[in-house]
Amino acid sequence: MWSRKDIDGLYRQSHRAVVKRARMLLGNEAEANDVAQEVFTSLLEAPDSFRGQAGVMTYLFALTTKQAISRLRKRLVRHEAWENAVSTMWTYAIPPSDPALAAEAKQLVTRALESADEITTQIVLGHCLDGLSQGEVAEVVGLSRVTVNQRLQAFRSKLKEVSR
Amino acid sequence: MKHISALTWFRFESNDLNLGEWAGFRWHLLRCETCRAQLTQRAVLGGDESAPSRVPISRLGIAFTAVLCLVGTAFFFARARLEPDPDLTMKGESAFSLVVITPQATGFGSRCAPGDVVQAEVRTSKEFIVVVGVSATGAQVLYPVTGSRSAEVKDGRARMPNSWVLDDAPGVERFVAVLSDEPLEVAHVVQSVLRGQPIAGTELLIRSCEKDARDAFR
Repeated sequence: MWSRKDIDGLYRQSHRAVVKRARMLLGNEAEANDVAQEVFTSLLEAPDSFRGQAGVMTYLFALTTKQAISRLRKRLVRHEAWENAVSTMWTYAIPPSDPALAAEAKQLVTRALESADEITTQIVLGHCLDGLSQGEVAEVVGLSRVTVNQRLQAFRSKLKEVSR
Repeated sequence: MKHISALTWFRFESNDLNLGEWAGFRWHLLRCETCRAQLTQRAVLGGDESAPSRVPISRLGIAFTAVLCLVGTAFFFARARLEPDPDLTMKGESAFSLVVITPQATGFGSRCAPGDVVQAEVRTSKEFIVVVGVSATGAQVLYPVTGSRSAEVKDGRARMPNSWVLDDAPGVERFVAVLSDEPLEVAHVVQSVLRGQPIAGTELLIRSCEKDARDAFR
C-alpha cells in the first residue's frame, strides 16, 4: 500500500508523463490536466489499488489510459465525432508502415472506442495505437497474453462480420 | 523495425528507464528518424519550448558507437565504481563523479577519446541541477534530457539516466554541473556557462578531459 509520501513522489516523477499521455488521447490540454488530477486523486483515495502485478509505471500508464478513455467516451457520446477524435490520437501515433494495416488499425481503434468494453478498448489501443507487443498489453490490462490475443481476434472478427 | 512504444515513452518521460533500457532506447533513437520526430513532438506537447538535447555522435559510425554503448554498459555493471577524481572541482558537500566507459577500462582520467561513453553522478544538498557539456564545437545541455527547466535532485543524489557519447571535436571536453536551491532556466544556464559568468546562488562543479582524436575507439 502506498503512503502519501510515495504518491507525492510518484506525482513529482510522473505528472508530466501522465498529462502528455492524456493529452495525446484527448487532444486537449485542459482535459488532460483534469485527467492527471483524477489519476493522482484516485491513488490518494485508494492507495492499495496497486497490487504489484505490473510495474508502477505500467500501472500508472494503464490508469491514465483508462481515465482518458472514459472521459473521451463521455464527450463523444454527446457529439459523436469518433473519427475526429481518433484522427487527433493518430497525430501522436506511429502507425504500421503498410497503409492497409494502418487503415485497419485506425478502424479498430474507432470501433473499439465506439462500442467495445473497457478492457477490450485498452487492448485495441495498446496494440493498434501505442505500438505495444501483446505481452506488454497483457501487462497493462492485467490479463494473460493468450487472453489478450483471443480478445483481439474476437474483436477483429466481430468487426468483419458487422462490415459485411 | 519496431518503434518505441507508448509505454516506453511514458517510462522515459517519468525517468523510469534503467541503464540497459536507456541504452536500447538511445540506440533506437539514433537509428530511427520517426522516433526522433516523436521525441521533438512530445517535447513540444509537454510545454517544453526547447528541443531535447542531443549528444553528437562521431562520424566514425553509429554502429560502432552502439556496440561501444552495449559493451560499455556491460562493463559499467561489471566494473564501474563512481569515484571522485583528484581534479574534481568541489564546493561545499557536493561531488560530481564521472566514469568513462571504454572496452578497456573505466575511470575518468585526464584523457578521453571520441566514442567514449560517459556516465555521471552528482551528490549534493542542492535541489536542482543542469549539466552542460562544453567542447570546441560549443555547449549543449546534457541533463535534463528534455525540457527547458532544471532537473530535480532526489534524496541528495542525481544519477544521470543516460550516457553521453563524446564526439570527435578535438580539444578539451568540459562537463559543468550547475546546482541550485531554486529551479533554473536551462537556456540561462547555458548562456552563463558559455560566458563564464556563474549565476548568483548556484554552485558549479566542473570536470574536464583532454580529447585526442587519435585515441578514437581505442
